[in-house]
Amino acid sequence: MIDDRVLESIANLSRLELSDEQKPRLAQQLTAIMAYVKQLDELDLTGVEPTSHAVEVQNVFRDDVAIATLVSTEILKQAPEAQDGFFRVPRVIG
Amino acid sequence: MTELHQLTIHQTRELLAKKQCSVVELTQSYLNRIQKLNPSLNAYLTVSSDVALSQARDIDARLARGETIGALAGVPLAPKDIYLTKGIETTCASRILKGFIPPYNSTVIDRCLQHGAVILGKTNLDEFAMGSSNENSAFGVARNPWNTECTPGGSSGGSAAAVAGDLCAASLGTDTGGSIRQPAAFCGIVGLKPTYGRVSRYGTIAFASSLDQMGPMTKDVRDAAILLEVMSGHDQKDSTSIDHPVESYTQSLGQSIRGLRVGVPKEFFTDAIHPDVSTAVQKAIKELENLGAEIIQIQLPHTRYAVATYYIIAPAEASANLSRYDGVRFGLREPAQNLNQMYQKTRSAGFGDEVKRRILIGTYVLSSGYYDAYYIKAQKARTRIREDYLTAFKSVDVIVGPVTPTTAFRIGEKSSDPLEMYLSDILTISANLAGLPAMSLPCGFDMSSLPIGLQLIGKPFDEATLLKMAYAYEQSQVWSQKKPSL
Repeated sequence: MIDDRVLESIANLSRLELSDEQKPRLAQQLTAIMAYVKQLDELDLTGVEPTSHAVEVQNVFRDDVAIATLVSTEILKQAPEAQDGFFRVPRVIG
Repeated sequence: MTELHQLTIHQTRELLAKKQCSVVELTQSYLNRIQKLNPSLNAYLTVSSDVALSQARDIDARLARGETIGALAGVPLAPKDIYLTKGIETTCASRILKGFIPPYNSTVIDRCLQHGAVILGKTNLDEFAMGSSNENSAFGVARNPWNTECTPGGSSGGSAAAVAGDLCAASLGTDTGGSIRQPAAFCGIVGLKPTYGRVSRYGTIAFASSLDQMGPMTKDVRDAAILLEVMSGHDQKDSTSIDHPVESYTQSLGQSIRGLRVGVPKEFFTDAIHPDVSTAVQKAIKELENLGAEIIQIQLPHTRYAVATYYIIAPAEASANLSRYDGVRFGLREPAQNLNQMYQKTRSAGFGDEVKRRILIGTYVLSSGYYDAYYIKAQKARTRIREDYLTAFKSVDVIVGPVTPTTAFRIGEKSSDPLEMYLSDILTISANLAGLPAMSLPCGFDMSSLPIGLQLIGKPFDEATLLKMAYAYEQSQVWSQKKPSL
C-alpha cells in the first residue's frame, strides 16, 4: 500500500518534488501497480538463482592504457554553469 | 514508377550504383516530404537538413571518385532521438534534455556513418523510452500514418511512423520491453530486436541496462538484415556487448525454411488477443507450414508473470540510470538555494509523469525492506521465464505468435490507466527478459485497415534463422508492398 508517508519517502530518495495535487493520484496509481506485481508471490521460487544478466559475461577487463577520449572543454560547453574548468553548482551545505 | 522516398535501402543502393540519381537528390526528396508531412505526423523532433545535405554532397563526391564506402552509402536514415548524435540535439523526448548537444556519437551511429549513411534527423519517442504509444513524449504525440487518430505505438513511435510514411529510408530504434516490435506491428513495417549484447549500447541513452537493445526498423526484411550487419559486433566501450562473430545476415535470405521447426505457444493465444489479430497470425503460421516449416505446439508457462517481472526490474534499473539527470553537468537546471533543492526542482520540472512513476516504483522496489520481496523475487521469476524459452528451443528453432493483443489504439484511449498500458506489452516483454532476438513483420490488416504484426523469437545469436524465415514469409505475401495513403 503506497500511502502518503511512503510516497513522501520514496519521492525524497528519488529527489522528486510532488505537488499536493499530484500525490493522491500517484499514490493510487502506484498502489494499483504494486498490487499487480505482487502476483509473483504465487510462484515457488525456492532454490532459483536470480538473473541479473540474461547473457552470461564475466570479468570484462581491458588493459590499463591511457587513450584519448573527450576534451574537457567540449564537455563543459554543455554545462548549465561552468567556471575555471569546473561545473558550478549552488551551495552544497546550508 | 517508384518515387525516390518509397525506396528501400537495397533499392536505394542499386539506384545509386546505376547513377540514376544522386545522394543529394534523394536526401532532398526526403527533406521535402518531411516538410510536407511532419506537421501532421510529428515523427521527427529534429530535422538536420544542413548536416544531411552536407553528408550527401560528401558521399556523392566520394562515389564519383569511385570510392567504395559501405553498405549504407548514400542511405538517408532517421535514428530515434535516444541515440547520441554529435552536434545534433538529442533530447530523448524529455524537457530535461532539451537543447542538449552531444559531444560524441553513439557507437551505432558511428558505424552507420562509416558505412556512408546520411542522418536526416531524430525521431520522436516516449520520454526516456518509457511507453507504448509515443503519448509520453514531452514534444507531442507522433501519429500513425495508417490512421492519424491512432498511435504509432511506442516507445519508437516516431521511427515507425517515419518508416511507414516514407519520411526516411530506414530508422534505428531501441527495444526494452517491445519498443521496436510493437510500433513496427502498429505501423506495418519490419522491426528487429537483436540478442542482448549483439549490438553496442554505448552512446545510447540508457533506460534499463539489462534489457535495452538497439535495432533496425525498416520497410522490408532485407533492409533489416543489411542494417543489422552494420550495427552488430563487439564494442570495447560497452562491457555488455558480446564478442560473437557477426554473420552475413543478408547471405541467408532466400534459403529454404523447409524442415525448420516452429513453436506456437498456447499462452500467446488467449482471449485477450483480438480475433482479427489471432486470425491473421494463424494464417501466417499456416503459410510457414506451406513453405515447409514444421509447426509444433509448445508451452511457455511463465508468460503470465512477464509483465509483473518486467515492471519491477525495468523501473528499478531506470531509477538508477536516470539519477544522472540532476542539472549539474548538462541539460535542464532549475534555479535553487542549494544543491539538493536544485536536484529536486530540476528533476520535477524536467521529467514527465510516466518517467516519475517509474522512478518512484524503481526506488521503492530497491529500497531496504522491499529489495528481497520485489527486486530479487523478480530476478528469480526472470530466470524461470528464460528457462521456459531455453527448454522450448530444445525442440523448436523459432517461436511464433502475435506481437500485440490489438492493433493500433486511438490516441488517448489507454493513457489514463498506466497499468492497462503496461498489460499490452505482454507478448513482447519476455524476449527482453530472456535476452533473445525477436522481430515483427507485417502479416495483414484488421477490419479497420490497421496493420497486424507477426512475431518471430529466436535462439540467442540466431538472428540469421529469424531473418531467413521472415524473408521466406514476406516474399510469399504482398504486405510489404502496401503503403498508407498520405
